[in-house]
Amino acid sequence: MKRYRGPLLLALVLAVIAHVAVVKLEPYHFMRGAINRNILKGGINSWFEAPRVTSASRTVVHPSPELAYSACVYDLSKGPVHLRVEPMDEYWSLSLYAADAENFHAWNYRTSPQGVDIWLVKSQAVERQPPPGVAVVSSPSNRGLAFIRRHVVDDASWGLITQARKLDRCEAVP
Amino acid sequence: MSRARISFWFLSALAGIAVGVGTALLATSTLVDPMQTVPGHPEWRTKRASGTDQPSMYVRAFAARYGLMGLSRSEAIYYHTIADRQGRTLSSSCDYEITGQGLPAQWWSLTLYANDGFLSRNTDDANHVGSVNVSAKPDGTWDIHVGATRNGAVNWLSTRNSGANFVLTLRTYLPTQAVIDGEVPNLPEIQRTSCQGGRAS
Repeated sequence: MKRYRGPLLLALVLAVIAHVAVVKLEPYHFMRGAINRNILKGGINSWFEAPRVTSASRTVVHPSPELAYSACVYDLSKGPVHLRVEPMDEYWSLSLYAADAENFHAWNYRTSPQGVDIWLVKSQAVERQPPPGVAVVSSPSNRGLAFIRRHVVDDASWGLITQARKLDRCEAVP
Repeated sequence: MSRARISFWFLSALAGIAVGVGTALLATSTLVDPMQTVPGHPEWRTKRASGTDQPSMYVRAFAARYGLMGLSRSEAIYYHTIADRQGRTLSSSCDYEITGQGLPAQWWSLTLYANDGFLSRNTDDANHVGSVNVSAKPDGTWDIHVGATRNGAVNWLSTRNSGANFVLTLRTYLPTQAVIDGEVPNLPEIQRTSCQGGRAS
């Protein structure tokens, strides 16, 4: 029996390590898939503006027909990214998701009626100062996703959203 | 060390890793259930309030697997149902009446999905009703007819081309602090009214 003790202990230790590693890495895995899908649709550091959800939409399961989505894969490896969301009277929100899928920051039309205008950086130590009125927000990871949701009330509001989208920004700071 | 002994160590290591990976995938796909039935509203299920800002690694993995890029509880709370008040699976062969009133949130939306998880392929323009377009009675309550035809109803969710069954999702945006903290809102009640070729019950 003694001769099995070592291998069994090794199996137990490796089982625990593998278990914890897989559970902890799963969010990164699913987030990487989402980031790669969005890169295909909209590239990096630019908004992908999803078309209006209709009964024919078959891209995302359980889509919200009352929301207009915009997504931007940000990459901070070469410096800050400028994120701007044009405010609207109806509900909108901006959510930032890190590489581990954590929603590390969010704004909406109640908390930020003036919209959002930020420099997203990897660490607080920013070499350059942003222009006045532009806040600095730190991301836990180099890559992640910015996500805008806007309330589509009716056809007229879709027109307003289309106009607002033209003023949104997700771009590397030159 | 003999060749057989080395093989045994190697196989033990492999078995340990396999067990670890297998139990991890099982735990994050089926064993962890972050959903709970809403007290007093047996047809509705919602995400369990974690009660902490630091959810466990299992809850985080489950959320990434099934609700990637979801909104935080303070931003939106979702409720899902596949059954009526009596617990019977929602069927496209039946008609239902949903009764409700204002919900403690900035705005809300109730959406009907076909059994494949997408909006039903029809031209009825009746896949969702929300606080901005629901027609309420003077006392603030409202009824929504759920069925393949409007049947003269003011508020209607169409089940046409939904497949055998359908799903309802209620999204409440910017809920009140009391609800965020765990207070149960007065959710809509879903009652079956009739079925094709038979009684409602």
